[in-house]
Amino acid sequence: MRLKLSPALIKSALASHSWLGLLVGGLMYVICLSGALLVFHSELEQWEQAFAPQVRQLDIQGALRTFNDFVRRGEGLTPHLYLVLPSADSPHARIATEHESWFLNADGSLGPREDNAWSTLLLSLHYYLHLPESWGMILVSVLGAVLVGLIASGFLAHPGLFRDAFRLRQAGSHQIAQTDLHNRLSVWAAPFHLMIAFTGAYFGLALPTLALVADAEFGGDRDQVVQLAFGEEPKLASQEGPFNIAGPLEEVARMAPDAPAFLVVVHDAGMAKQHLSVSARHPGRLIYAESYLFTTDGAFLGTAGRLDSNLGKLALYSIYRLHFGNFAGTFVKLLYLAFGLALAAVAASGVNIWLAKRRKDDGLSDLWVGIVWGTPLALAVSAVASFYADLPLTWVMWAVVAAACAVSLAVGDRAASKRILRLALVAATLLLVICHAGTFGSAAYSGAPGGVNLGLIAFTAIGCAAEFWPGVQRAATRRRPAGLGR
Amino acid sequence: MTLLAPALVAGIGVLSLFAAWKRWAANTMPFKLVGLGLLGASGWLFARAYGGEFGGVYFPLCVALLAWLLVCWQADPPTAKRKAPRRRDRFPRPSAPALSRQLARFVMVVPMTGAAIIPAAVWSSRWLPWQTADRLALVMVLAPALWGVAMFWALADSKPMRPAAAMLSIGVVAGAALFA
Repeated sequence: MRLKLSPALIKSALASHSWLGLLVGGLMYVICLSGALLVFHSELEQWEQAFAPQVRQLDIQGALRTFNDFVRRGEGLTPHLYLVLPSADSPHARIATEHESWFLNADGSLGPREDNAWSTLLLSLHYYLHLPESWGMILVSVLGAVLVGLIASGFLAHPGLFRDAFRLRQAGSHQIAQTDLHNRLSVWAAPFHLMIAFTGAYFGLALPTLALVADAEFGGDRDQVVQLAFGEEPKLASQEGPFNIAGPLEEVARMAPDAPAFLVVVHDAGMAKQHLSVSARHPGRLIYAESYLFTTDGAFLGTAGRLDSNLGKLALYSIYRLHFGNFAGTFVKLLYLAFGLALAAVAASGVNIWLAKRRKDDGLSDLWVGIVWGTPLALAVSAVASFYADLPLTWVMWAVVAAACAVSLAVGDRAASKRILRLALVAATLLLVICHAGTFGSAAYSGAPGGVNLGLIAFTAIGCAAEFWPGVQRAATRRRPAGLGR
Repeated sequence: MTLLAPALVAGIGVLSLFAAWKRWAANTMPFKLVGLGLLGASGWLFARAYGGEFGGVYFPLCVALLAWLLVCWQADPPTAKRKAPRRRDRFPRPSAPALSRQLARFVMVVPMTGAAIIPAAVWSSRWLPWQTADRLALVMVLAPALWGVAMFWALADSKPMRPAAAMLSIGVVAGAALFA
């Protein structure tokens, strides 16, 4: 089953694939690596705040009092306020503005302030590459569009699709080993990677596209276009007085008994048109949630109508969960982690192939080793730093990446610097588990924090095996008396 | 149980493709056809068991996972490679003309194609017989994909001026049509 493509087309497709890949290889690697880890964002947040109060059953009346006190005080109010209820994803209840968040105790009283600096660092790396938010998100989304181009050109540049379908030559030359790894990971997972590219591109490009539509078709009225795409805001008389949250939650439980409510949002807080929405996740549906809208005193206004949308809107409302894989429990999240890491490996091996084809090493080869192994090392080191000091973690992370590149340049030997950085990564990961256990004690061994630590220990064990097992095997072969094992 | 049936069918499908690839029989075509047929059946079973939304995600994940398992199973084990001597060069310093050539190429391939494709997608969606909201949703989801394909064409065409001229024309026509 050899695709009949002209050699000229294959050659130009390969050239196009290489150019696009080199243009975005480093950024793509960082985005895919951080995105793969972000699949477990909720678990990572719980891991770094393992002392946060766990709430099995929240006292809604208590939470309501806290919420109304918070609104009455008016300090730091933002247009949206959130009450996050404990759910299957997270056993924590929180009250939040657009900038800050506090845990709630089981009785609904205000708990400690949320301190999730490291998971926020990871999130902001994936969403914005630590750039200013609007530009960063557009850049990341453009990379989603580039990924579509890479997948299309990759297929056209690879006419022996079936001939090589299961081939993985790791014993041959470095170039062949990297090429096989790149092609096997990318070809079989292409539908998944295409879906990640589509959905990822959407996040940053949706608003500029809506702005264009608004300017062209709606006389510049962006609110009208946003409401057309994402649901209309209710028409309300002036809303005053304290919020009634218990009533809406009971109403949603009655209307949708199978759909657990997990979020209450106050829209336009402090304004005349303020109102509430309760988000409930419907089993068997991919959409993020259906929103049930209420007045501040708890009168039902209607739903956002997401459950009954046509195909186009359904696709929009499903994009978030489709991209981050949080729709079917831990097993699917683990698959998303594996496939995300595979995409990171595709980005890294793509550049490795280009470097190997040059038949020479120089500073570029060293820098690339520094970026590939320095980025996960930097994430681990910044996580360790987050436990002990109130440091600007973004700077810590990029300083470690820069240091990794500097070490690699100083060593000047690709294989040696790779080994040094991999060992440093394994050591930093082990140190991270030890520091976490030292900081949180028994809370580090149970629930989501325990799961994350188990994953880190497994990673350390695999890293150690990968580093030391070949040496052990070689030593055993040398010790074996002549004549044995033949 | 619901996962088992579609996963099993996908597994036999991938195994059948593997058998064709390994040339376990002289005539590989039946293995290929059976393999592809079973993969199609597995996709249908996933959609039946989990609905189109979830089944459409589980199916490609399952097929890729099974294929990777077979790839790993029959892979050559990595060996300690004798390091081939590689020439060591100084840090590359591209010339100014080379840099400006690449920069011009970048402008043509990334921003210019985007500036043409996104307005064109918005404009052409006007002819879809759908509600405005669905039309918008389709544009928001598909425009980046069309942009990616346009980037590929801009790079792959043997005559670079052809995609550049096409993108410029598309952008001007779509912009004029949208804002006229």
